Amino acid sequence: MSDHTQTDSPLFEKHRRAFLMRKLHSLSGVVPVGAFMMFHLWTNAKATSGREPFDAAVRDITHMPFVVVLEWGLILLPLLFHALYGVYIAMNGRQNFTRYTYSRNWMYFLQRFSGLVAFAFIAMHLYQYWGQKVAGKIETSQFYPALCESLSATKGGVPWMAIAYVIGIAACAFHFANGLWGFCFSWGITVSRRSQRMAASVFGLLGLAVFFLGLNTVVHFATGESVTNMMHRGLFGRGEAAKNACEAYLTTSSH
Amino acid sequence: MADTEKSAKEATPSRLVHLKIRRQDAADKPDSKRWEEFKVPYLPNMNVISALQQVQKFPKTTDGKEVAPVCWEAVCLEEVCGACSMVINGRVRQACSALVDQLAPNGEPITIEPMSKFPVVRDLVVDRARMFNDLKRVKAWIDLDGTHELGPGPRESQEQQQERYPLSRCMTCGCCLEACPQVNDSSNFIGPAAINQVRLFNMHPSGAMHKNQRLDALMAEGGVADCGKAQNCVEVCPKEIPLVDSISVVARDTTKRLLFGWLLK
Repeated sequence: MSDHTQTDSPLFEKHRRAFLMRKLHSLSGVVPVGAFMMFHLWTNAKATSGREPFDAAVRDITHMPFVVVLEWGLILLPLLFHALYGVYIAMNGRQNFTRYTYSRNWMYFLQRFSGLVAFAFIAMHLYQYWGQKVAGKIETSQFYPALCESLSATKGGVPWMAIAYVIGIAACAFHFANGLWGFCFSWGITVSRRSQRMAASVFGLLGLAVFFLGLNTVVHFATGESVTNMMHRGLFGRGEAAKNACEAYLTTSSH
Repeated sequence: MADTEKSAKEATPSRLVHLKIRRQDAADKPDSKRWEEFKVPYLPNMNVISALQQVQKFPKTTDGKEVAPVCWEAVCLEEVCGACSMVINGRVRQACSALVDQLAPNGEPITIEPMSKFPVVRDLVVDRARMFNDLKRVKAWIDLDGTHELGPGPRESQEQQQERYPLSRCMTCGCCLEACPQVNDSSNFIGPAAINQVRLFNMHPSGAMHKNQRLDALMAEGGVADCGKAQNCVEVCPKEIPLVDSISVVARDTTKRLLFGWLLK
Protein backbone atom coordinates (compact mmCIF):
# COMPACT_ATOMS: atom_id res chain seq x y z
CA MET A 1 0.00 0.00 0.00
CA SER A 2 1.31 3.36 -1.02
CA ASP A 3 -0.20 4.95 2.09
CA HIS A 4 2.56 3.62 4.31
CA THR A 5 4.88 6.21 2.81
CA GLN A 6 2.41 8.88 3.87
CA THR A 7 2.46 7.59 7.45
CA ASP A 8 6.22 7.85 7.60
CA SER A 9 6.52 11.18 5.82
CA PRO A 10 8.38 14.02 7.55
CA LEU A 11 6.63 16.43 9.87
CA PHE A 12 6.62 19.47 7.63
CA GLU A 13 5.44 17.80 4.45
CA LYS A 14 2.81 19.70 2.50
CA HIS A 15 -0.22 17.57 3.35
CA ARG A 16 0.47 18.06 7.04
CA ARG A 17 0.71 21.84 6.87
CA ALA A 18 -3.00 22.64 7.30
CA PHE A 19 -3.26 20.44 10.39
CA LEU A 20 -0.12 21.93 11.96
CA MET A 21 -1.31 25.47 11.22
CA ARG A 22 -4.64 24.78 12.91
CA LYS A 23 -2.91 23.30 15.94
CA LEU A 24 -0.48 26.19 16.08
CA HIS A 25 -3.35 28.67 15.84
CA SER A 26 -5.15 26.99 18.72
CA LEU A 27 -1.99 26.79 20.83
CA SER A 28 -0.83 30.33 20.08
CA GLY A 29 -4.15 31.69 21.39
CA VAL A 30 -3.43 30.13 24.79
CA VAL A 31 0.33 30.61 24.97
CA PRO A 32 1.73 33.10 24.41
CA VAL A 33 -1.16 35.39 23.35
CA GLY A 34 -3.70 34.50 26.07
CA ALA A 35 -1.07 34.25 28.77
CA PHE A 36 0.29 37.64 27.78
CA MET A 37 -3.19 39.17 27.92
CA MET A 38 -3.63 37.97 31.51
CA PHE A 39 -0.20 39.36 32.42
CA HIS A 40 -0.94 42.62 30.62
CA LEU A 41 -4.30 43.18 32.34
CA TRP A 42 -2.73 42.27 35.68
CA THR A 43 0.12 44.75 35.21
CA ASN A 44 -2.27 47.50 34.12
CA ALA A 45 -4.46 46.86 37.15
CA LYS A 46 -1.55 48.25 39.21
CA ALA A 47 -2.73 51.66 37.99
CA THR A 48 -5.71 51.38 40.31
CA SER A 49 -3.29 51.81 43.22
CA GLY A 50 -1.86 54.97 41.68
CA ARG A 51 0.72 56.24 39.24
CA GLU A 52 3.80 55.14 41.22
CA PRO A 53 3.20 51.36 41.14
CA PHE A 54 2.08 51.60 37.50
CA ASP A 55 5.18 53.50 36.40
CA ALA A 56 7.38 51.11 38.37
CA ALA A 57 5.80 48.14 36.56
CA VAL A 58 6.27 49.83 33.18
CA ARG A 59 9.90 50.56 34.08
CA ASP A 60 10.50 46.94 35.07
CA ILE A 61 9.14 45.72 31.76
CA THR A 62 11.08 48.21 29.62
CA HIS A 63 14.29 47.20 31.42
CA MET A 64 13.82 43.47 30.92
CA PRO A 65 16.78 41.87 29.15
CA PHE A 66 16.16 41.17 25.45
CA VAL A 67 12.92 43.11 25.66
CA VAL A 68 12.71 43.61 21.89
CA VAL A 69 13.18 39.88 21.26
CA LEU A 70 10.51 39.11 23.85
CA GLU A 71 8.20 41.75 22.44
CA TRP A 72 8.40 40.41 18.90
CA GLY A 73 8.88 36.72 19.59
CA LEU A 74 6.39 36.25 22.39
CA ILE A 75 3.78 38.90 21.67
CA LEU A 76 3.70 40.59 18.28
CA LEU A 77 4.49 37.74 15.89
CA PRO A 78 2.31 35.10 17.62
CA LEU A 79 -0.47 37.69 17.91
CA LEU A 80 -0.18 38.59 14.23
CA PHE A 81 -0.22 34.92 13.22
CA HIS A 82 -3.20 34.19 15.49
CA ALA A 83 -5.09 37.22 14.18
CA LEU A 84 -4.45 36.68 10.47
CA TYR A 85 -5.03 32.93 10.50
CA GLY A 86 -8.10 33.59 12.65
CA VAL A 87 -9.57 35.92 10.04
CA TYR A 88 -8.94 33.22 7.43
CA ILE A 89 -10.78 30.68 9.62
CA ALA A 90 -13.66 33.07 10.31
CA MET A 91 -14.05 33.76 6.59
CA ASN A 92 -14.29 30.03 5.82
CA GLY A 93 -17.30 29.41 8.06
CA ARG A 94 -20.93 29.79 6.98
CA GLN A 95 -23.01 30.99 9.90
CA ASN A 96 -26.35 29.24 10.40
CA PHE A 97 -27.31 30.21 13.96
CA THR A 98 -30.66 31.56 12.78
CA ARG A 99 -31.60 28.07 11.57
CA TYR A 100 -29.86 25.96 14.18
CA THR A 101 -30.24 27.98 17.37
CA TYR A 102 -28.19 25.79 19.71
CA SER A 103 -26.05 27.49 22.33
CA ARG A 104 -22.80 26.02 20.98
CA ASN A 105 -23.67 27.24 17.50
CA TRP A 106 -24.08 30.74 18.97
CA MET A 107 -20.69 30.34 20.62
CA TYR A 108 -19.26 29.35 17.25
CA PHE A 109 -20.55 32.64 15.83
CA LEU A 110 -19.54 34.71 18.86
CA GLN A 111 -16.02 33.24 18.85
CA ARG A 112 -15.50 34.49 15.30
CA PHE A 113 -17.29 37.79 15.89
CA SER A 114 -15.42 38.54 19.14
CA GLY A 115 -12.17 37.62 17.38
CA LEU A 116 -12.78 40.24 14.70
CA VAL A 117 -13.76 42.86 17.30
CA ALA A 118 -10.65 42.00 19.32
CA PHE A 119 -8.52 42.28 16.17
CA ALA A 120 -9.80 45.81 15.49
CA PHE A 121 -9.46 46.81 19.14
CA ILE A 122 -5.93 45.46 19.54
CA ALA A 123 -4.86 47.14 16.29
CA MET A 124 -6.13 50.48 17.62
CA HIS A 125 -4.62 49.90 21.04
CA LEU A 126 -1.22 48.99 19.55
CA TYR A 127 -1.29 52.08 17.35
CA GLN A 128 -2.13 54.32 20.31
CA TYR A 129 0.66 53.17 22.61
CA TRP A 130 3.13 50.73 21.09
CA GLY A 131 3.12 52.50 17.71
CA GLN A 132 3.54 55.95 19.27
CA LYS A 133 6.37 54.62 21.44
CA VAL A 134 8.19 53.10 18.45
CA ALA A 135 7.67 56.32 16.49
CA GLY A 136 9.29 58.20 19.38
CA LYS A 137 6.20 60.31 20.03
CA ILE A 138 5.65 59.13 23.56
CA GLU A 139 7.90 57.99 26.40
CA THR A 140 6.87 54.90 28.33
CA SER A 141 6.98 57.02 31.48
CA GLN A 142 4.16 59.13 30.00
CA PHE A 143 1.79 56.16 29.47
CA TYR A 144 -0.09 56.88 32.69
CA PRO A 145 -1.10 60.49 31.93
CA ALA A 146 -1.76 59.58 28.30
CA LEU A 147 -4.16 56.84 29.41
CA CYS A 148 -5.89 59.21 31.85
CA GLU A 149 -6.36 61.79 29.15
CA SER A 150 -7.53 59.41 26.44
CA LEU A 151 -9.90 57.32 28.56
CA SER A 152 -11.46 60.20 30.50
CA ALA A 153 -12.06 62.29 27.38
CA THR A 154 -15.70 62.76 26.45
CA LYS A 155 -17.41 64.01 23.33
CA GLY A 156 -20.95 65.23 23.79
CA GLY A 157 -20.81 63.89 27.31
CA VAL A 158 -20.05 60.35 26.14
CA PRO A 159 -16.68 58.75 26.97
CA TRP A 160 -16.29 57.11 23.57
CA MET A 161 -12.74 55.86 24.06
CA ALA A 162 -13.55 54.31 27.43
CA ILE A 163 -16.59 52.60 25.89
CA ALA A 164 -14.44 51.32 23.00
CA TYR A 165 -11.98 49.91 25.55
CA VAL A 166 -14.72 48.18 27.57
CA ILE A 167 -16.16 46.61 24.40
CA GLY A 168 -12.68 45.62 23.20
CA ILE A 169 -11.75 44.08 26.54
CA ALA A 170 -15.10 42.25 26.71
CA ALA A 171 -14.47 40.80 23.24
CA CYS A 172 -10.94 39.75 24.25
CA ALA A 173 -12.13 38.17 27.52
CA PHE A 174 -14.92 36.22 25.79
CA HIS A 175 -12.65 35.13 22.95
CA PHE A 176 -10.03 34.00 25.46
CA ALA A 177 -12.44 32.08 27.70
CA ASN A 178 -14.31 30.39 24.86
CA GLY A 179 -11.00 29.82 23.10
CA LEU A 180 -9.66 27.96 26.13
CA TRP A 181 -12.78 25.79 26.00
CA GLY A 182 -12.15 25.15 22.31
CA PHE A 183 -8.48 24.42 22.96
CA CYS A 184 -9.44 21.78 25.53
CA PHE A 185 -11.82 20.24 22.99
CA SER A 186 -9.60 20.21 19.95
CA TRP A 187 -6.51 19.02 21.80
CA GLY A 188 -8.53 16.18 23.32
CA ILE A 189 -8.31 17.33 26.95
CA THR A 190 -12.07 17.42 27.54
CA VAL A 191 -13.44 14.39 25.71
CA SER A 192 -16.79 13.71 27.38
CA ARG A 193 -19.75 16.09 27.08
CA ARG A 194 -19.80 16.32 30.87
CA SER A 195 -16.20 17.48 31.06
CA GLN A 196 -16.96 19.96 28.28
CA ARG A 197 -19.83 21.42 30.31
CA MET A 198 -17.59 21.66 33.38
CA ALA A 199 -14.88 23.36 31.33
CA ALA A 200 -17.48 25.82 30.01
CA SER A 201 -18.41 26.83 33.58
CA VAL A 202 -14.82 27.14 34.76
CA PHE A 203 -13.67 29.14 31.72
CA GLY A 204 -16.85 31.23 31.87
CA LEU A 205 -15.93 32.33 35.38
CA LEU A 206 -12.34 32.94 34.30
CA GLY A 207 -13.56 35.07 31.40
CA LEU A 208 -15.71 37.15 33.75
CA ALA A 209 -12.74 37.63 36.07
CA VAL A 210 -10.50 38.70 33.18
CA PHE A 211 -13.16 41.12 31.94
CA PHE A 212 -13.62 42.60 35.41
CA LEU A 213 -9.85 43.03 35.79
CA GLY A 214 -9.71 45.09 32.59
CA LEU A 215 -12.97 46.94 33.26
CA ASN A 216 -11.75 48.06 36.66
CA THR A 217 -8.63 49.62 35.15
CA VAL A 218 -10.56 51.38 32.39
CA VAL A 219 -13.01 52.80 34.92
CA HIS A 220 -10.07 53.96 37.01
CA PHE A 221 -8.49 55.84 34.10
CA ALA A 222 -11.84 57.22 32.98
CA THR A 223 -13.19 58.40 36.32
CA GLY A 224 -10.35 58.25 38.83
CA GLU A 225 -12.44 55.75 40.71
CA SER A 226 -12.33 51.96 40.69
CA VAL A 227 -15.27 49.60 40.44
CA THR A 228 -14.22 47.92 43.67
CA ASN A 229 -14.24 51.26 45.49
CA MET A 230 -17.61 52.16 44.04
CA MET A 231 -19.03 48.83 45.14
CA HIS A 232 -17.45 49.23 48.53
CA ARG A 233 -19.08 52.62 48.96
CA GLY A 234 -22.34 51.38 47.57
CA LEU A 235 -22.38 48.46 49.96
CA PHE A 236 -21.11 50.21 53.07
CA GLY A 237 -22.33 53.75 52.41
CA ARG A 238 -18.95 55.47 52.68
CA GLY A 239 -19.59 58.69 50.86
CA GLU A 240 -16.16 60.29 50.60
CA ALA A 241 -14.70 59.84 47.14
CA ALA A 242 -11.31 58.18 47.09
CA LYS A 243 -8.54 60.56 46.13
CA ASN A 244 -6.21 59.13 43.50
CA ALA A 245 -3.35 59.96 41.23
CA CYS A 246 -5.36 60.08 38.04
CA GLU A 247 -7.81 62.68 39.28
CA ALA A 248 -4.99 64.71 40.80
CA TYR A 249 -3.06 64.66 37.56
CA LEU A 250 -6.04 65.83 35.54
CA THR A 251 -6.73 68.78 37.86
CA THR A 252 -3.07 69.86 38.17
CA SER A 253 -2.30 69.56 34.46
CA SER A 254 -5.33 71.53 33.24
CA HIS A 255 -3.34 74.54 32.21
CA MET B 1 -56.87 3.31 -10.23
CA ALA B 2 -58.69 5.77 -12.48
CA ASP B 3 -61.60 5.74 -10.05
CA THR B 4 -59.51 6.60 -7.03
CA GLU B 5 -57.78 9.40 -8.95
CA LYS B 6 -61.12 10.77 -9.98
CA SER B 7 -62.56 10.61 -6.50
CA ALA B 8 -59.49 12.23 -5.01
CA LYS B 9 -59.71 15.01 -7.55
CA GLU B 10 -63.40 15.62 -7.18
CA ALA B 11 -63.83 15.22 -3.47
CA THR B 12 -63.12 18.50 -1.74
CA PRO B 13 -61.08 17.23 1.17
CA SER B 14 -61.66 18.99 4.46
CA ARG B 15 -57.95 19.43 4.86
CA LEU B 16 -55.19 20.30 2.41
CA VAL B 17 -51.45 20.08 2.89
CA HIS B 18 -49.63 23.16 1.66
CA LEU B 19 -46.14 22.48 0.30
CA LYS B 20 -43.55 25.04 -0.80
CA ILE B 21 -40.91 23.20 -2.73
CA ARG B 22 -37.52 24.40 -3.95
CA ARG B 23 -36.99 23.14 -7.46
CA GLN B 24 -34.17 22.89 -9.97
CA ASP B 25 -34.49 21.17 -13.35
CA ALA B 26 -31.00 19.71 -13.62
CA ALA B 27 -27.55 19.82 -12.10
CA ASP B 28 -26.26 22.03 -14.92
CA LYS B 29 -29.27 24.40 -14.79
CA PRO B 30 -28.80 26.50 -11.64
CA ASP B 31 -30.87 29.25 -13.32
CA SER B 32 -33.95 27.05 -13.05
CA LYS B 33 -33.93 27.38 -9.26
CA ARG B 34 -37.39 28.41 -8.12
CA TRP B 35 -40.09 27.91 -5.51
CA GLU B 36 -43.30 26.12 -6.44
CA GLU B 37 -46.32 25.69 -4.22
CA PHE B 38 -48.68 22.74 -4.12
CA LYS B 39 -51.78 21.89 -2.18
CA VAL B 40 -52.42 18.18 -1.81
CA PRO B 41 -55.20 16.30 0.00
CA TYR B 42 -54.42 15.33 3.55
CA LEU B 43 -54.24 11.62 4.40
CA PRO B 44 -54.11 10.25 7.94
CA ASN B 45 -50.58 9.83 9.35
CA MET B 46 -49.09 11.50 6.30
CA ASN B 47 -45.36 12.13 6.15
CA VAL B 48 -43.45 14.41 3.78
CA ILE B 49 -42.78 11.49 1.42
CA SER B 50 -46.46 10.63 1.08
CA ALA B 51 -47.20 14.33 0.56
CA LEU B 52 -44.63 14.34 -2.25
CA GLN B 53 -46.30 11.21 -3.67
CA GLN B 54 -49.54 13.20 -3.88
CA VAL B 55 -47.69 15.92 -5.81
CA GLN B 56 -46.39 13.23 -8.15
CA LYS B 57 -49.96 12.08 -8.78
CA PHE B 58 -51.27 15.58 -9.58
CA PRO B 59 -48.30 17.82 -10.37
CA LYS B 60 -50.26 21.06 -10.51
CA THR B 61 -49.12 24.17 -8.63
CA THR B 62 -51.47 26.31 -6.57
CA ASP B 63 -51.65 28.84 -9.40
CA GLY B 64 -52.96 26.09 -11.64
CA LYS B 65 -49.84 25.43 -13.70
CA GLU B 66 -49.19 21.85 -14.85
CA VAL B 67 -45.53 21.12 -14.05
CA ALA B 68 -43.15 18.18 -14.18
CA PRO B 69 -43.51 16.05 -11.04
CA VAL B 70 -41.12 16.84 -8.22
CA CYS B 71 -38.14 14.46 -7.98
CA TRP B 72 -36.95 13.15 -4.64
CA GLU B 73 -35.10 10.16 -3.23
CA ALA B 74 -36.45 7.75 -0.65
CA VAL B 75 -35.81 4.09 -0.02
CA CYS B 76 -36.51 2.50 3.35
CA LEU B 77 -39.21 4.83 4.74
CA GLU B 78 -38.13 3.92 8.28
CA GLU B 79 -35.16 6.23 8.88
CA VAL B 80 -32.41 3.69 8.33
CA CYS B 81 -31.22 4.28 4.75
CA GLY B 82 -30.34 7.97 4.75
CA ALA B 83 -31.64 8.63 1.23
CA CYS B 84 -34.45 11.12 1.95
CA SER B 85 -32.49 13.85 3.80
CA MET B 86 -34.05 17.22 3.01
CA VAL B 87 -34.23 20.66 4.54
CA ILE B 88 -37.79 20.78 5.88
CA ASN B 89 -38.98 24.06 7.40
CA GLY B 90 -35.37 25.22 7.51
CA ARG B 91 -34.00 22.18 9.32
CA VAL B 92 -32.29 19.18 7.82
CA ARG B 93 -33.96 15.85 8.57
CA GLN B 94 -35.29 12.66 7.04
CA ALA B 95 -38.46 13.27 5.03
CA CYS B 96 -39.82 9.83 5.95
CA SER B 97 -39.95 10.62 9.66
CA ALA B 98 -41.19 14.19 9.13
CA LEU B 99 -44.90 13.86 9.93
CA VAL B 100 -47.34 16.36 8.48
CA ASP B 101 -49.42 16.37 11.67
CA GLN B 102 -46.41 17.61 13.61
CA LEU B 103 -45.09 20.00 10.95
CA ALA B 104 -48.40 21.64 10.05
CA PRO B 105 -51.12 20.81 12.55
CA ASN B 106 -53.18 23.77 11.29
CA GLY B 107 -52.34 23.56 7.60
CA GLU B 108 -49.27 25.81 7.76
CA PRO B 109 -47.12 25.73 4.63
CA ILE B 110 -44.30 23.19 4.76
CA THR B 111 -41.12 24.31 2.99
CA ILE B 112 -39.03 21.58 1.44
CA GLU B 113 -35.54 22.27 0.07
CA PRO B 114 -32.72 20.03 -1.08
CA MET B 115 -29.65 19.89 1.17
CA SER B 116 -27.43 22.88 0.40
CA LYS B 117 -24.03 21.30 1.03
CA PHE B 118 -24.28 18.78 -1.80
CA PRO B 119 -24.63 19.26 -5.56
CA VAL B 120 -28.27 19.17 -6.65
CA VAL B 121 -29.09 16.49 -9.21
CA ARG B 122 -32.69 17.57 -9.70
CA ASP B 123 -35.30 19.15 -7.40
CA LEU B 124 -34.81 17.50 -4.01
CA VAL B 125 -32.30 14.91 -5.19
CA VAL B 126 -28.69 15.61 -4.23
CA ASP B 127 -25.45 13.77 -4.90
CA ARG B 128 -23.86 12.57 -1.64
CA ALA B 129 -20.89 10.99 -3.43
CA ARG B 130 -18.39 13.09 -1.46
CA MET B 131 -19.43 11.27 1.72
CA PHE B 132 -18.65 7.90 0.18
CA ASN B 133 -15.34 9.18 -1.14
CA ASP B 134 -14.57 10.44 2.36
CA LEU B 135 -15.21 6.94 3.74
CA LYS B 136 -12.56 5.71 1.32
CA ARG B 137 -10.22 8.52 2.37
CA VAL B 138 -10.36 7.46 6.02
CA LYS B 139 -10.35 3.71 5.26
CA ALA B 140 -13.68 3.09 6.95
CA TRP B 141 -13.36 -0.68 6.72
CA ILE B 142 -11.44 -3.54 8.25
CA ASP B 143 -8.71 -5.18 6.20
CA LEU B 144 -9.29 -8.93 6.29
CA ASP B 145 -8.33 -10.06 2.83
CA GLY B 146 -5.15 -12.08 2.58
CA THR B 147 -3.58 -14.92 0.71
CA HIS B 148 -3.79 -17.27 3.65
CA GLU B 149 -5.98 -18.10 6.64
CA LEU B 150 -5.44 -15.47 9.34
CA GLY B 151 -7.29 -17.28 12.10
CA PRO B 152 -9.83 -15.73 14.42
CA GLY B 153 -9.42 -12.06 15.24
CA PRO B 154 -8.96 -10.64 18.73
CA ARG B 155 -11.99 -10.72 21.01
CA GLU B 156 -13.94 -7.61 21.81
CA SER B 157 -15.38 -6.97 25.26
CA GLN B 158 -19.13 -6.66 25.70
CA GLU B 159 -18.55 -3.19 27.11
CA GLN B 160 -16.77 -2.00 24.01
CA GLN B 161 -19.39 -3.55 21.76
CA GLN B 162 -21.98 -1.49 23.61
CA GLU B 163 -19.93 1.64 23.04
CA ARG B 164 -19.27 0.90 19.40
CA TYR B 165 -22.80 -0.06 18.36
CA PRO B 166 -24.31 3.45 18.39
CA LEU B 167 -21.41 4.67 16.21
CA SER B 168 -22.19 1.98 13.64
CA ARG B 169 -25.73 3.31 13.14
CA CYS B 170 -24.53 6.02 10.72
CA MET B 171 -26.45 5.83 7.44
CA THR B 172 -24.39 8.48 5.60
CA CYS B 173 -27.52 10.62 5.32
CA GLY B 174 -25.57 13.90 5.34
CA CYS B 175 -27.62 15.74 8.00
CA CYS B 176 -24.50 16.44 10.09
CA LEU B 177 -22.70 17.93 7.09
CA GLU B 178 -25.70 20.04 6.15
CA ALA B 179 -25.97 21.56 9.64
CA CYS B 180 -22.20 22.09 10.05
CA PRO B 181 -21.11 25.71 9.49
CA GLN B 182 -17.59 24.46 8.72
CA VAL B 183 -18.76 22.34 5.77
CA ASN B 184 -19.25 24.66 2.79
CA ASP B 185 -18.00 25.43 -0.67
CA SER B 186 -14.99 27.38 0.55
CA SER B 187 -13.74 24.67 2.92
CA ASN B 188 -12.90 21.03 2.47
CA PHE B 189 -13.74 19.90 5.99
CA ILE B 190 -14.48 16.19 5.90
CA GLY B 191 -17.36 16.54 8.37
CA PRO B 192 -18.53 14.61 11.43
CA ALA B 193 -19.75 11.41 9.71
CA ALA B 194 -16.32 10.27 8.48
CA ILE B 195 -14.65 11.26 11.75
CA ASN B 196 -17.15 9.09 13.60
CA GLN B 197 -16.26 6.18 11.30
CA VAL B 198 -12.60 6.60 12.19
CA ARG B 199 -13.49 6.23 15.87
CA LEU B 200 -15.69 3.21 15.09
CA PHE B 201 -13.05 1.35 13.13
CA ASN B 202 -10.13 2.39 15.33
CA MET B 203 -11.98 0.90 18.32
CA HIS B 204 -12.45 -2.42 16.56
CA PRO B 205 -9.73 -4.87 17.67
CA SER B 206 -8.79 -5.79 14.09
CA GLY B 207 -9.49 -2.32 12.71
CA ALA B 208 -7.09 -0.85 15.26
CA MET B 209 -4.23 -2.44 13.30
CA HIS B 210 -4.59 0.38 10.78
CA LYS B 211 -5.31 3.07 13.33
CA ASN B 212 -2.52 5.43 12.30
CA GLN B 213 -3.48 5.39 8.63
CA ARG B 214 -6.98 6.55 9.52
CA LEU B 215 -5.64 9.19 11.89
CA ASP B 216 -3.21 10.46 9.29
CA ALA B 217 -6.07 10.86 6.84
CA LEU B 218 -7.73 13.16 9.40
CA MET B 219 -4.49 15.02 10.13
CA ALA B 220 -4.43 16.50 6.64
CA GLU B 221 -6.21 19.44 5.08
CA GLY B 222 -9.92 19.40 5.92
CA GLY B 223 -9.34 16.91 8.72
CA VAL B 224 -10.52 16.80 12.30
CA ALA B 225 -8.71 20.06 13.22
CA ASP B 226 -11.18 21.96 11.00
CA CYS B 227 -14.02 21.18 13.40
CA GLY B 228 -15.47 24.52 14.57
CA LYS B 229 -17.11 23.06 17.69
CA ALA B 230 -20.55 24.42 16.80
CA GLN B 231 -21.92 20.97 17.74
CA ASN B 232 -24.93 21.19 15.43
CA CYS B 233 -24.05 17.72 14.12
CA VAL B 234 -25.03 15.88 17.28
CA GLU B 235 -28.25 17.86 17.52
CA VAL B 236 -29.48 17.04 14.01
CA CYS B 237 -28.24 13.43 13.74
CA PRO B 238 -31.38 11.33 13.18
CA LYS B 239 -29.57 8.25 14.50
CA GLU B 240 -28.56 10.00 17.73
CA ILE B 241 -24.91 9.11 17.22
CA PRO B 242 -22.67 10.80 19.82
CA LEU B 243 -20.83 12.68 17.06
CA VAL B 244 -19.27 15.28 19.35
CA ASP B 245 -17.81 12.53 21.52
CA SER B 246 -16.43 10.90 18.39
CA ILE B 247 -14.81 14.13 17.23
CA SER B 248 -13.23 14.77 20.64
CA VAL B 249 -11.95 11.18 20.93
CA VAL B 250 -10.40 11.39 17.47
CA ALA B 251 -9.04 14.85 18.34
CA ARG B 252 -7.33 13.32 21.39
CA ASP B 253 -5.90 10.48 19.28
CA THR B 254 -4.56 12.92 16.70
CA THR B 255 -2.98 15.02 19.47
CA LYS B 256 -1.24 11.91 20.77
CA ARG B 257 -0.11 11.01 17.27
CA LEU B 258 1.18 14.56 16.73
CA LEU B 259 3.12 14.66 19.99
CA PHE B 260 4.35 11.10 20.29
CA GLY B 261 4.22 9.98 16.65
CA TRP B 262 5.22 12.88 14.46
CA LEU B 263 7.29 15.01 16.82
CA LEU B 264 9.16 12.33 18.73
CA LYS B 265 9.81 9.93 15.88
